[in-house]
Amino acid sequence: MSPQLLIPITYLAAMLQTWLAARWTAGGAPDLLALTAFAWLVTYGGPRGFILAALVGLVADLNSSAPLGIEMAIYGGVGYGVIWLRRQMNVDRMPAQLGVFWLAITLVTLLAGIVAWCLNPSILSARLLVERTALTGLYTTLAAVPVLMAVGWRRAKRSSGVLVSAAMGR
Amino acid sequence: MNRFNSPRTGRTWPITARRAMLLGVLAVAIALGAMSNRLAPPLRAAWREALRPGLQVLSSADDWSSNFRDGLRSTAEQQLVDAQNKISDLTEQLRRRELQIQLARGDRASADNGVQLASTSSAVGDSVKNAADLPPLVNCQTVSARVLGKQAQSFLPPRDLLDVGQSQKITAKSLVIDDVKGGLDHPLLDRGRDADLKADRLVLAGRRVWGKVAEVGPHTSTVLRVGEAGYRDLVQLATERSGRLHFAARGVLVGTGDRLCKIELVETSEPVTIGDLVFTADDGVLDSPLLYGRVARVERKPGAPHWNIWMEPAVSIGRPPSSVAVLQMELNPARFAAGQ
Repeated sequence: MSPQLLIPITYLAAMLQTWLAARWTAGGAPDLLALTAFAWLVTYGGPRGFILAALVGLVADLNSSAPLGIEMAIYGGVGYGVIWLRRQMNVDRMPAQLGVFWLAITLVTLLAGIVAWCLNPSILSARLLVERTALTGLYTTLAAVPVLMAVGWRRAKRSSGVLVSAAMGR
Repeated sequence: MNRFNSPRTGRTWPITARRAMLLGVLAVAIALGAMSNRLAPPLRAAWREALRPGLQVLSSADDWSSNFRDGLRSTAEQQLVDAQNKISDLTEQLRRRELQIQLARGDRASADNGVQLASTSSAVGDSVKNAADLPPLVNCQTVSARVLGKQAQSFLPPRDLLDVGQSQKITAKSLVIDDVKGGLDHPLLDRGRDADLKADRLVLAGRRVWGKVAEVGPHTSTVLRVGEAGYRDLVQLATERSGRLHFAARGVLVGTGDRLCKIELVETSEPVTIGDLVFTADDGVLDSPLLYGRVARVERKPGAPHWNIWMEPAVSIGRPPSSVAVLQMELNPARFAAGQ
């Protein structure tokens, strides 16, 4: 998938995240921007994909009220880790993708929570931080399942098409 | 390849392009954080402006879907309300038909007794028309009720609840004394305060007066019949001549507890004969008077200023009607609407 497509998808995700923020009253909710960044990074991200993840993090910064740069740094750093993991292990299958994705989302949420707690300890307790991290990781991973399935199905279709073309000598 | 030597651990890290980029990203993030106070407000304002069209589209879609859901829900609710209105309209129509049937039966019974209520109505109507340019201040309506039989009456008393309580200093084990003369001997109607009945309202069998509401309970009320002791009302006597009724003397109807009741205070100067009809006195509310009965016996003692008149009630005490109509009065809203 072309990285340019990430721009409208990120816009849509930010819009939905803003719109749904007022409607989600439960303790945790899927992080759509993180979903966008890391679902792309897990499936399509190249060696420098963490830069795009960092830019999505900047959008997350703009969407939040925390100082700028925090989410950008976290997304960038975790994105770098995801790329490193992809080089260390095979993440072509969906369970592996989901595992890496869950790890990334949980790390992002946890790090953002820790930074927020460091900036203003009164707004977050350790228990709430753990609870929020677990719920956000779970919900976002669940929301990523259909996305990763669709990507896997699209890749399988494309690779089978390539194989057929190669077999027919074209 | 450049290398980075860690001064603390002594380890050497190759500075690859990706690592350099990561360091650059982190440096930018730190710079943004450092300048956040200055940069954040305009950047966030611009971002909100960029998001605004999309959010408006989402809000519009949400409103549309809410309206659509509400529309579906309100359509169902509206259908329910319409059905309920239709049921109440039909119920009202049925009540009016029943009342018309009762009145028609009353007319026929009155005609059997030699009364031509149509002519009564027209005769009274003529006299009223002149004064009736304005809408009447008080309107009359009737409430249909069934007369409960002995079995129904014996079923009801154990379930009666008193409408008094601690506010009237009533405590447990207080004695309950029946203050109604005759108690359960009074006929019982199946309408009470639930139908907004009030005491002293006339109870009609067709256009004939059967009695008055004596006491009103939550769901039932008792009737004091015309001939019963304690019944009193102002009446007027009418003589039928050439198909028209001529009203003359007025008197007070008094129940005696016997088959015939008395009409008192009719001066001997008034012409009264056996067979004269006794109607309710015109009190300016009813379009036509209601029939009480017929003069059955007349006596005039020498020197007495008043007649001794006995009346036979139009509705026999021994044969109670199965259903009756209670006359209710209410202020005419048309009069107030007209500012009069």
